[in-house]
Amino acid sequence: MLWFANGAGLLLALAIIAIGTGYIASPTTMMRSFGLPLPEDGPNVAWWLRLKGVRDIVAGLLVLAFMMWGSQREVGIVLLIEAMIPAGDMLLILAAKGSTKSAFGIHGLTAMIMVLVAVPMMIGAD
Amino acid sequence: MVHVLSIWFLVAAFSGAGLVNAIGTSGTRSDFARWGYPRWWGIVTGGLEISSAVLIALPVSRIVGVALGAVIIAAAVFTVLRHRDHAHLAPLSVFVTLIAVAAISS
Repeated sequence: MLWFANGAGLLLALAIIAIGTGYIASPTTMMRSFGLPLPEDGPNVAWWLRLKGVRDIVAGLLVLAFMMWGSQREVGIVLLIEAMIPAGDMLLILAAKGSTKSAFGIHGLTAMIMVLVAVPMMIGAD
Repeated sequence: MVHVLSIWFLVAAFSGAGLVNAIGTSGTRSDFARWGYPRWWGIVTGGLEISSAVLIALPVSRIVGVALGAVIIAAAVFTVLRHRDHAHLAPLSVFVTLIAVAAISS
């Protein structure tokens, strides 16, 4: 079970790093699938979107750092706390009357997977 | 545990990418043509990626496989940056991260 949870944790970290890199490389393309209406057009919008990319990469690296140098319990705690990011994204999209499909199908699902991975790590901690 | 996981993720990722490049879908063929490579370059790249996956899978040749994989990914990053084809950086970041995790955690 812990092998599966660790594998899923590693996949989650890699996925958020890839998404973050995508936001830095082509921010407006990535923003289309987020679920919020696109920001008003302007020369600085892409740079603001790139800030999200940097934060996503750091969120993934944090999980990887704890997987390499921390205990199972710490990895679980980090994942559980970071699950608040997609959960918050989902709530913000719903509040802004964005895409319900993206809110639940992408962000809600991600938050749920993160919690489901974090809990066995914390329970079966070494 | 993270070292073993990163090794097997690398094997799976290089195998998958190698198969896609070696088979040569229309998308990958047009990518290679746009980057100025000959038509057969995809088969070479795919063959190198599959070789890297096999070398990484075998404990005796793991270091050589990871080194070969790092060279392939470095060439890929250089190519997409040179041609400003930034959309390809997202999947490449997964390879870079996995290679770094495998190397650091060994």
